[in-house]
Amino acid sequence: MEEKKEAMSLMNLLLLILLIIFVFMLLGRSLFSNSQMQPENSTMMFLGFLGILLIVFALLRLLTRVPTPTQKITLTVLQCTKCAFKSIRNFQVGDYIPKIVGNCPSCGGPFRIEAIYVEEKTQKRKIPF
Amino acid sequence: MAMWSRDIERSLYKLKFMKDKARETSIKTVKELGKPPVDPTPRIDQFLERFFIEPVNMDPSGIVWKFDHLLDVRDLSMKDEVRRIAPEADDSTLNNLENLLEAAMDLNLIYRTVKHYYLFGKRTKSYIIIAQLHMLLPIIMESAAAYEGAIQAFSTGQPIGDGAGPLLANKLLRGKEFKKIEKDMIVGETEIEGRKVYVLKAEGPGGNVGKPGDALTILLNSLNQRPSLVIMVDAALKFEGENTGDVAEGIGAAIGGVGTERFKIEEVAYKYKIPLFAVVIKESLKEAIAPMKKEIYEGVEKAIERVKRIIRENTKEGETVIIAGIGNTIGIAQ
Ligand SMILES: [Zn+2]
Repeated sequence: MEEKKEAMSLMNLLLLILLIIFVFMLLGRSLFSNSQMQPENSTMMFLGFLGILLIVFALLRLLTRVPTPTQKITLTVLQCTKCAFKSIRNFQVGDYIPKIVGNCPSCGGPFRIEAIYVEEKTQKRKIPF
Repeated sequence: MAMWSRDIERSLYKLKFMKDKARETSIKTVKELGKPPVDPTPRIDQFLERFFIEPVNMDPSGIVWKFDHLLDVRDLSMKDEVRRIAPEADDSTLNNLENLLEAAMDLNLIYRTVKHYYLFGKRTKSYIIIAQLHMLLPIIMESAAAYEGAIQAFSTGQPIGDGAGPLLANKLLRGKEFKKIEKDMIVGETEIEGRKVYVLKAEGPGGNVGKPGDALTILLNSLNQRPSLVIMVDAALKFEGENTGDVAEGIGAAIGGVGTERFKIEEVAYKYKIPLFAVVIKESLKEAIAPMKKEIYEGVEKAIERVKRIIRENTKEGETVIIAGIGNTIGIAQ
C-alpha cells in the first residue's frame, strides 16, 4: 500500500517535469522564432501559457497537500512492580491492564502490564486561533 | 441534485464496504475464539438485524424503569445469543464478542438507514430528502468511521478511549482488595491522603460498561457513614480543535448512555444529599471507541492529580469519598 503510493507520487513528479519541458519548448519556439507572427505561433503561445497555469496549479497542490498519517501501532508498556525497570513491546492479543506477565529481567519481581495505547507519529498542524 | 446524489452514492459504497468488513471480522473472530460446532454465519447475519424498541414516552412518568428493564432484557438476550454462537468463549471474551457484534450491528444500521432515505428520496424525486441526507453526510460518515475503529479494538480486546474512567479506577486500586457489588460492577477500598475512598468500576477485562447507577445505590445504602463526596470520572466529547487528553472538572453526573444510569445516580445523590463532582478526559467520538491513544493515557494521569486536589479541597481527613470510573473497561481488569 505505502509502496504503491510512493510509486504513484514519483510518477506524478515525472509527468510534471515532462510537462514543464514541453511547455518551455512550445513557448521558446513561439517567442524566439525569427519568422513573423504566424497563426501556429500564437496557438503555441496560447498552449504554452495554459501549460504554465497547469504547472502552477500542480505545484500549489503539492505544497498544500496534507501530510498523510503514518501507520498506527499499539504498544504494551511493561513495568516491574518492585524496581523501576520498564520495557515496551507490540500489543499481543490477550494483553490487558494490569496483567502479570512473567518476571522482571532485572530483579525477578512480578512484571506487570502498565499501559496499552496507540502511538501515532504525525505532526499535528497547529491551529492559529 | 445530481451532484448531491453522486456524493451520497459514493458514501454508500464506502458504508457498504465498512459494514461488510465488520461482518467478515465478526465471523472470523467468532470462529477463532468461540470455536462453534456449526458455521455461525447465518446466526451472525440474524444478529446484525436485531432491533430495540424504545418505551413509549407519551406518559413519561416512570419511563426510566421501563427503559432500564428493556435494556436489561436486551443485554441478557444478546449475551445468551453470543454464548450460543460462540460456546467455547470465556466470560471476558464473550463480552468482547458481544461488543464487536454490537458495533457491526450499528454499522449495518447506519448503512441501511442511509440507503433507505437515499432510495426513497430518489424514487419520490424528493429534492428536500436528498438535500437533508447530503447535509447530514459528514456527521454520518464520521460516526461510521468511529465504529470501524471500534471493530479493531473489540476484535483484539485492547483498551479503547472510553476506558479512561475504568483505567483511573484501576490505577487507584492497584494491589487493593475488591469485591463484586452488582452485575458486572466491582468496588474496592483504598486511601487517599487520609480519606477513606471507595472506587467503583465495571468488571474487566472483557468489554463492559456495567451499571454504575445500581452499584452506587447499593454501595450508598450499605455504608454506615455518609460519604462527603462522589466524584465521577468519564471520557467526554471534546469540541473540534481542542486537545485530546485535556482534563476538565465540573458538577453533575458524568455518564453517557440513554440516561437511565444518570437518572439513578442523580436520584441517590439527592436522596443522601451528597455533592456530585465530575472530572472528564476530553476526546472525540472517534477516539472514544477506537483503541486508546497515548494522549488519553496521559490524560488519565493528569485526571488522578485533579481528583486528588478535589478531595483535598472539599473534604477533611477521616471522611469518606466515592470515586466512580465510568466507561467501557475492555482490556482493563481490576
Ligand atoms: Zn524489577
